[in-house]
Amino acid sequence: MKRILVIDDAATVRLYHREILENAGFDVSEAINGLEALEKIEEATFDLYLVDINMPKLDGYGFLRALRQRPIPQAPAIMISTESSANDRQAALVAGANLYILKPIKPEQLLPHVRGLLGEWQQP
Amino acid sequence: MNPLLDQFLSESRDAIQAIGEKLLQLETAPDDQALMGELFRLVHTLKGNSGLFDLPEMIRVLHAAEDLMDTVRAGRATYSQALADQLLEAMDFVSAVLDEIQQAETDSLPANAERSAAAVDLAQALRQFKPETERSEAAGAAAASAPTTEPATEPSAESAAPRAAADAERMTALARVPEAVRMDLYQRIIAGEQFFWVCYEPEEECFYKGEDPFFQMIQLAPPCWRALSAREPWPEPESLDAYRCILRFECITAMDEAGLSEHFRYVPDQVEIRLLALDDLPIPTGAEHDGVPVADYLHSATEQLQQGDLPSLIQSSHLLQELAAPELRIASAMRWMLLLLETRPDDRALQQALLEHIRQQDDPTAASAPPTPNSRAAAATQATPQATSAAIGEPLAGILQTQAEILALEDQPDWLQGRLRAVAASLQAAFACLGEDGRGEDAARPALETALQQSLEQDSPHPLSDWLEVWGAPYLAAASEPTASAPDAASAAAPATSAAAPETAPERTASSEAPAEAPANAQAAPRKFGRRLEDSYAAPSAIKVDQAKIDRMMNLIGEMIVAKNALPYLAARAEKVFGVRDLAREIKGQYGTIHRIADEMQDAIMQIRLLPVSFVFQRFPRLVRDTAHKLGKEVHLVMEGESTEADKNVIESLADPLVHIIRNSLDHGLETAEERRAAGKPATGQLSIRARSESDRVVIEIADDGRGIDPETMRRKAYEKGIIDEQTLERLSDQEAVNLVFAAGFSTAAAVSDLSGRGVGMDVVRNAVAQVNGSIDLKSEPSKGTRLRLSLPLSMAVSNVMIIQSAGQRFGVSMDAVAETVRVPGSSIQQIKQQKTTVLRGRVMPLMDLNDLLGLDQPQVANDDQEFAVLVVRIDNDYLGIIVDDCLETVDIILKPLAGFLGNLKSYAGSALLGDGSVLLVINPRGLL
Repeated sequence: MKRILVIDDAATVRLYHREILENAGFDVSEAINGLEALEKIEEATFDLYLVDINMPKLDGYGFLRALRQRPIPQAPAIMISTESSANDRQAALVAGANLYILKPIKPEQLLPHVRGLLGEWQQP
Repeated sequence: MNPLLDQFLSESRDAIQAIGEKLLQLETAPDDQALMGELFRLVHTLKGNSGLFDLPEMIRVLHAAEDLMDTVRAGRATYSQALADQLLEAMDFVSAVLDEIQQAETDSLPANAERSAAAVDLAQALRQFKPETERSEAAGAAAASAPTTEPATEPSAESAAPRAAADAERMTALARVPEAVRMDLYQRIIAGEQFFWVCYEPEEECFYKGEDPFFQMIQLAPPCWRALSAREPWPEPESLDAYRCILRFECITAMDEAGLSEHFRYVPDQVEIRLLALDDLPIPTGAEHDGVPVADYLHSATEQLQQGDLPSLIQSSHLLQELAAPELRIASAMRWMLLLLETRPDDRALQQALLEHIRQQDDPTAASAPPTPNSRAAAATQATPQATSAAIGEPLAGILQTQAEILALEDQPDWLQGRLRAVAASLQAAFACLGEDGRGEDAARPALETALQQSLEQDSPHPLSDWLEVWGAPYLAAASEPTASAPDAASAAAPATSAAAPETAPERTASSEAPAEAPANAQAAPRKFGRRLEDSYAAPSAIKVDQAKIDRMMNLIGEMIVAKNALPYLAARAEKVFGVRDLAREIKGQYGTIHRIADEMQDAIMQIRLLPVSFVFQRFPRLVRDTAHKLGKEVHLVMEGESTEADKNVIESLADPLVHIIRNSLDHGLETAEERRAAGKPATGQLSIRARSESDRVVIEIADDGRGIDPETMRRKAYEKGIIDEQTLERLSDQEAVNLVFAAGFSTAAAVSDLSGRGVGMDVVRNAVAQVNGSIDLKSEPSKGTRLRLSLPLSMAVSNVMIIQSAGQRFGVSMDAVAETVRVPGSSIQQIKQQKTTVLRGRVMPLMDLNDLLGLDQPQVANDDQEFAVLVVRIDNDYLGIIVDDCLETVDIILKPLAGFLGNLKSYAGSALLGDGSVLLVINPRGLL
């Protein structure tokens, strides 16, 4: 089963993503900020990261930059944001995100991207 | 309620609470950047969360609030009290919406005009604080992010599409209307009639909502034209979902707009109603022309139009029309041109636009040719060389496109290698999805790995972007994202930068050696992208438990304590009835252990229920601030001992009385700045709220240095209102006069003010306090101030009661009410009129028989020395002796209020189970009288 790490400080959002992803058959872990996520990636390997931008202690940009410097297999990361400006998108890609998706996210919008980045997407 | 909504409500409430606190903290430290950052983050998270639900009003307000906070945080707007007021008001609104959701237990509230109007006003008011230059932009952003618009997940395709595209779409839709109909409409519009274009796209689940779109449409008055089409290509029959509505209804009708709105009032968001404009109609339609000298015509016609030579234009148009077969588009164009020239000879712009339209149609290289109705889908398959590329799916195209963008980045950060690896992983995954079709996945993959290795060695994205250009080209071409030019830019720049890249490569590869430094690096990273790092937020380590669960545990422990108390009886029975002394001893030993554990458990659960008084206090700063603001008074609030703890019930019962007391202080107690200055006091009034523990009670003092309560005024008012009679008036001491504020129906304020005089007097406060076995005490000195002192038990869960005996029954009386117990010789009881009295320590005290009070038809029994047991109870600072038969021990009991009809018995505070299983009724002395 593919493992996905959901990083978001809002418990509501984590629960939401967990439900979507688990229903789709993924193994979901959670981290409440970038620092905790960095601890989590020490303990386990993930196939995909879902990263919020705004988080206490270490934000999404900081986490991605740190992640991309780790000597571990580099899994794709989706940055989830409410900012639709080109600058924010650019910043996310610079930091190491592989996709930039805007909130709010509906399951039918999230899953194809997740599957696509995990090599599991199929033409409906 | 679903768990997600539950979680959302609880998290949002916390956020609103925290936002309120931060705002108040900011008032004292408006320059605190960290505080500001945290505030922004809280609002941001709140908005993000509400996006998961269908809460348009809430999002509208929160978006405006977030926007404003962002502006303030960036220093483009200044923080002010008015701004804080507005934000607090916005949070109140959000709070109200949350309450509504909680009550409705659903995440989609029915539309409410009042609510949405309030939201619009609030958002508008928030925007007023933004600098002038940013307002319109903010309004635009708010509109774009409003959830009523298209879901924003495909920013590239949807949101970037300018308004012009929508217009073009409408135009193509109109092109489907037969030319004859349009010409007819055209002439009727010129004649002054009005027509509306209606496009109704029922939502996909409409059949499940009891809607009947078809019926809805045929109910309309017969339109000039109508059409029914599918919004998307019909799926294959085997995958067709007949219950999913993908229909589009269109019609042109002469009905008026109000009638149409009324007709579609239940589905306003699914219907587009637009007044048909004259220049919407002239759209030439028909087959491609061939061999018709259009270019010549265009050339001469443009000239003739500019010169105003209409007769020549008409002539050349006629000529072209005759040349072209009538089914050709150019013939249609000429028919329109002639019609325009005939009906609106002066409207050059209209004719010019038509010429322009013909020109675009005629010139195959004109890229901006508006697509004809059904050519859109056709274009997707024909325009691109690979018919398959359009079919790779939106997600994959998006992924490839984004990776191309990443590879086009020109920076050289420390994490470049990781970024490249992640891009390669993403590309590999995307291509794996394509693998099924066998389109080069086998060949692409090794090439990708080689490209990645090269990229890593050169520390440059170019080998990867070259690979993507080769393998991804067909798919990238299909993706019509506005940023599609990125790969081109990258490849153009490739030769220059790849030459320089190898030199920097060696030191770059070392980046993976320092994982531990990663967070530190992130901290030190440029502020631009790490801007929210400083927004630290202390996450509470506490868990939330429903109060009902704790109450249940309390009850269970109570029952266990009672069950435990049965053990000594059992031991006694074992010894006396069954004669097993050893067993009796063991039971007693075991009882000791269980007793100890039960006591500790009880203590533990009490601890859980303990709350700091700050739970109630925290809302006071805002209350005082707002109230003082409204009254135009200057008040300094001092709070002490917020961490003092008491049982949750006690704390909660405190909330309303305290609010009332504080309002009273602010409204009646403290004077305005002018009055204070005149009285020689500092202009700023002081209000202090102090909490502390005193043995097993919590004491809360509310003191102000205001005008105090004048005993003379009290006497006069009380007399005027008939609360006291003339005799009492003369007897009343100053303190007693002041205490009259607690009398029912008493309000000293000359006029009922907006704030405190709401018909709720201090008597309500006193009753609320008495209900939790608390007492209240008031001291006031005219022109110096007033001090209220509330004394409350730490916990209401366990009460200490004295067991008394009367008429052969046992009753309990709360020790809080018992002042003392005395034995009074029968000889010293005097009868004054109907009232028994005695003199206790030089003071006359009324005596009453408990049996009389309870309606038990027996005289009280004295002991062998002819002494009566008297329970002295204190009721509102007055003492009363209750004669009982005997006073027994005191016990700790768990008092349960009487339920149902018994709850109306005011004489009893409740009942409790005793260790031997018997029930003890606990008397409420106040209720006896």
